[in-house]
Amino acid sequence: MILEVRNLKKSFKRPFSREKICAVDDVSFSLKKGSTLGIVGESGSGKSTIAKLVMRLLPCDAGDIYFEGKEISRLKENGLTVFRKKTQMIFQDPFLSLDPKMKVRDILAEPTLVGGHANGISLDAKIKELLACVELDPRFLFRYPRELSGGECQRIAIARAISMNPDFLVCDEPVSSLDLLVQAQVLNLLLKLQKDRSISFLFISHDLRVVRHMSDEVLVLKKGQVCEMGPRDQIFQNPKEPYTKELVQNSLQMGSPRFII
Amino acid sequence: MSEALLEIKNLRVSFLDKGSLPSREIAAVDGVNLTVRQGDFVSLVGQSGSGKSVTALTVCGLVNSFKTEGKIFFTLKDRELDLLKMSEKELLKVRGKEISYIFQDPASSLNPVIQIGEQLDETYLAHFDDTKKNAEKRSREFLQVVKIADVERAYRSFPHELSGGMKQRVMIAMALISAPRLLVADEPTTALDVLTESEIMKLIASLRVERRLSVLFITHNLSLAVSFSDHIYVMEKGRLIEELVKEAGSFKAREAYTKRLFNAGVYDQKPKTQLLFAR
Amino acid sequence: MLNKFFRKKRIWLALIWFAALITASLFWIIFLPAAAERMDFSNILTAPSLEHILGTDLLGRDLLARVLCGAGISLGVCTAAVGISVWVGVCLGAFAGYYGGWRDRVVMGFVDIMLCFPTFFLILAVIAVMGPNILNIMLVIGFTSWMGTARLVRAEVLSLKEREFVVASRLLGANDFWIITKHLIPNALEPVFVSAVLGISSAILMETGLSFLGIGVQPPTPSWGNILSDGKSALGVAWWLTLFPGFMIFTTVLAANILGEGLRGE
Repeated sequence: MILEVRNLKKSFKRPFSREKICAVDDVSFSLKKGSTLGIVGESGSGKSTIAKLVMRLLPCDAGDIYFEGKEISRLKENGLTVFRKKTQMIFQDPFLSLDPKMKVRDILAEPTLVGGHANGISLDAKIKELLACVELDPRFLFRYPRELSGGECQRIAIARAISMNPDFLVCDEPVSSLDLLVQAQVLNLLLKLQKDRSISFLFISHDLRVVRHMSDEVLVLKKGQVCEMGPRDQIFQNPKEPYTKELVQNSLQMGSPRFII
Repeated sequence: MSEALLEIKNLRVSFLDKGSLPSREIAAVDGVNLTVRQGDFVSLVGQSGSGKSVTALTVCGLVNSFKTEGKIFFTLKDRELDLLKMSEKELLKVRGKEISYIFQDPASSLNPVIQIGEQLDETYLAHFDDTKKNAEKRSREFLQVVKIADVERAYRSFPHELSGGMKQRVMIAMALISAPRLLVADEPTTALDVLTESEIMKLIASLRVERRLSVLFITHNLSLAVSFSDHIYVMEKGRLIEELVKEAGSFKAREAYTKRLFNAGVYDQKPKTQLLFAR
Repeated sequence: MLNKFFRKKRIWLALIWFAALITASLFWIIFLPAAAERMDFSNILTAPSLEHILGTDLLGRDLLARVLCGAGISLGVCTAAVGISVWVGVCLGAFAGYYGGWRDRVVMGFVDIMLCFPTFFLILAVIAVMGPNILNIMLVIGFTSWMGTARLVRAEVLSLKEREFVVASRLLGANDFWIITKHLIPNALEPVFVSAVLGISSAILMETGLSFLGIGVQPPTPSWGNILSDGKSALGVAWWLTLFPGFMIFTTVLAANILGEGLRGE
């Protein structure tokens, strides 16, 4: 198990009121090394909050997070350096996840400059290698994010994320803001990287079809609580909970076979 | 074959690329022909940059283009009007009243500091000369029509208090309150999650039947379009690639691009394998 | 992106004005430095003529030379002052915006206190104590006009620090200093350019005012302010002593404002 989460809880206080909203309510799951856990739910179900809690971007109110056997939910930021080197995140909006004032070259150089790993090869060579990994031409090096398409930006974000050879990648709706054809390209890239580098994924999406394609196990989230969890085929072919059934039915309905090719 | 309500003929919309020297003219829409017949659900499908949104916005008259050529005919009371040749004053009678629009991001279409109910009233009163009381009644009626559960609460809410799905329902109510003949929907469900998307689509489909509305639906998701349309136009890079007509309950695609687009929305390949249509 | 900026005619005019002014004043300062100081008592207060294109002043010095050298001094002092204010403003604003909490309150409290002082009188007092030389003027103007920039930068940083690219950088293990200097400040600079250019115009007015009152640039070093001050006593007799430096001040401030507004329009 690369990641084990037990009884995770997180509440937010509404601004200007004393109301507390429980975004994540007693969520537990685990992730096997080299596999993908897909988390699905409607907007507001708490999926993005779980991503931020697991990445230690937010402190959790209660619960334990074990990464590679070590408890990390109570560590301070300076105790997390090892964790940070082994884990990365891909965000939903590819344009916003890149610094608009930095050229692609600088964006890709940043992990090395910050982490301080040269490993024998020069920075230039490493950057070219990263671009090749995400199947982009070297001519992209001198462009700014605003000159790139959504799919290209997302690839740069992925290249940046794999630069430090992470073992674990959290993908928070990585293809939701991309066009369908581009979605497929990015998903293919993620699958290829997982196969080549044995990265474990936490794949979060509201689109069940994408989750079904990418995951080995699926967790269905409803209003911050675990509705159902299990192997992918079981969830999609034999959903137990009524909510899960509704979700699965709706996602299948959209691609109705009234199309002859 | 019912008569044409909206006919776009040879539409060409170009913009000036001021970033380059000398400035280049780029055609976002290049020679598009599209027809929406009375009572039809027509979808315009394409990826980013295909020109589908520009086409929809040109029907609204909301595009600041460098050059717009072609004709957009709209049938109003047995007369055919060319929307592109109309003055702003004349367009006001059509825009928002005969042709209504809903856009992708409901949050940016709603005024954040005015209550929903008041915005609905204003929309109604902008097109009909009626009393405020009648406007309020009609607003509440339409909130029910779009299947909002707690009408009174929604009426008094501000946009930020509503979820994305509810905001989009409010947008639909605002679009329908003027009793339009044509509804232009530009990616109304793209920002919503699948369950909400499904509900909104079903709502639009049912309203179209109840109110004898024609719909021009813009989307990047071909399989979504297939589930609801009578007629589909596929665009790529400003050009019309294919026109699909529903025959015997199904569509027949000829172009390779269309087939790829359709496969992209279905994901029925074996999980965790490389998606074949991607390249 | 900058193409839109260059489209307006008045921006071109403003840029040409600055280019010409800087070139001419550098030329005079480097190659003809003595011209501004050469006194010719047989030619005091002469009207503009072929020999002295803008006329001469109370001590027979050529006005053109004095005005152009004065331009160099004024522009130099003001640019340096603005440079100081931008530096201080950006650093304090970024610090306050990023850390928040008590640090933010302390810095913003300091901003509020500084804003309460009537700047001109504060500068008068400081110069009176420290002595009116060019360095002091630069420092004093610089250290009393950073507050606007600080607020602008703080506002930008507040909205930027939660953006995904900053979070991504944090996840890479970047420390606060890296995030502030490599990500937040470069992205927060856009409004600062505008405020800096507009700041030059107000710095020119400030320095001119100080020199006019006699506590700015000291004679014999020329400055538009002290030339105006000289001209004040000969107003009825020598209109050129007031008109030309006045015209220079007016046009330069106008040009700076046009550039600032042009940048803002971006």
